[in-house]
Amino acid sequence: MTTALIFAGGTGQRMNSRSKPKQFIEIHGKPILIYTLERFEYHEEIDDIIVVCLESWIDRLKNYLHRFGITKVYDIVPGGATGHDSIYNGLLALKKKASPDDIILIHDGVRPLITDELISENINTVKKYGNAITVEPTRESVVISTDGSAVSSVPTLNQMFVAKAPQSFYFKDILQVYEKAQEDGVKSIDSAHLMSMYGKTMYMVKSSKNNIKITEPADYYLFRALCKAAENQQIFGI
Amino acid sequence: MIYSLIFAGGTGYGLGPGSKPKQFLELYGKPIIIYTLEHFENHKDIDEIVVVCIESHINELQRLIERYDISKVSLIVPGGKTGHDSIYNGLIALRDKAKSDDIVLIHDGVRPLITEELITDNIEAVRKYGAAITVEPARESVVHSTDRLRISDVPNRNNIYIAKAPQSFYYGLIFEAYEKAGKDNRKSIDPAHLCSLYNIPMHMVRSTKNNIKISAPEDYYMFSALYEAIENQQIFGV
Repeated sequence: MTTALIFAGGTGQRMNSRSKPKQFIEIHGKPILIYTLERFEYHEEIDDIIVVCLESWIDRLKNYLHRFGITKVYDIVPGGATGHDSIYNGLLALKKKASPDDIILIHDGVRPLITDELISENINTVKKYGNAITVEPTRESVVISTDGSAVSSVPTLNQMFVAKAPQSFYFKDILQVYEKAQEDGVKSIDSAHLMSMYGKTMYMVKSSKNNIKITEPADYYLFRALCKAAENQQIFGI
Repeated sequence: MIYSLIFAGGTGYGLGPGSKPKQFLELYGKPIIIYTLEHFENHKDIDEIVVVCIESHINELQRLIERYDISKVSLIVPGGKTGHDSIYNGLIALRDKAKSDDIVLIHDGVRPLITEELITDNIEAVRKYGAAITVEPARESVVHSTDRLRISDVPNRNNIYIAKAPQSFYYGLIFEAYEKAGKDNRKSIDPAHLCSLYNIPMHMVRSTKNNIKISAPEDYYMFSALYEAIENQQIFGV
């Protein structure tokens, strides 16, 4: 089985949208989270979807799933205090049904511009190497500073990559590190970060273009502009 | 004296072969390079502007500067083979007029959303620290890979910043670094990278928002979307 675990637990503090978490902000009448879910819904290799959702929005999400014809979501579980806890909650819920060799694609609800090919690439890479972290080459120099003021170093640009999503694993591997982190009281920024803390080898998959994460107002404008450009492309082939 | 050195030497391959150099792409009939130059033209602390321009477009740039009343451009010099060479060309052109304690703000022609505040912050930081690099905290994890397949490590995101522009220096300091690189036959990605190669201490300046570099087609859409949002803000204060 191949399952998508979609993280939609954030509250949107950076978005100036006090009334709505960012994954529920609408573009042309459709919530961003639904754009994301559609990509997995329509991918033939994805068997089912589990969504980790902000608790107060679970009922609303159920309505949306019905309205937009999303049928693969078999469970919605409440998010935790942090992104780390939310993913852990999702994995715990999966424990009831997933077998150790199932493939789990962990994705952000606010990355709606994922493609069919990227989903397939993630699945293929897990089968080939055991896991898959979606990355993009950095386009601007990366600077390291340990004190937030002076530059400590500027690493070689062609060795630095930005981690995106999906981040994909065999269920047994990813559950094991999250359970270990729970025992050790360790929290991570994302799954790749956690795997690296436990010294696991990870493999990179090159992201498709425009795989943006919508966390700030500017991202919302960009997504809207890209949607429009993609729609125009259908007609004009630009 | 405070100089601004604007790099407009790129050929625009980032936007596909055959297209205009990206700094000359227009939004609402005005080229991107002019949007950028206007910020320096209108800043009271900037005395002169030097533009490093792709050689085949120097005449076009000359006409545009006249048409848009950009009066501070004192020199236009042809770009070199790489970004490194182009910046070096610009610094060489300044040799006869700039003193070693003059300040130079090195900026990309394709970063038109720079603000007055960011220019001021750069100037102040150079006066205080000698070298100022505009940065933004990393919003996604950055991973390190030496073989472009396996991830070798995931550095702590709290220590990671993305270098933007302007990158600003005392003229003597930065000219000397480029002279030295010329002798040592070294090339760099940007001035920050060069300074790090020669262990020159740099101070970070926080970028204002949306300081994007227009180097791929989606960036043009983003610029257009952000520009529209910024214009709307004047009226609605959204």
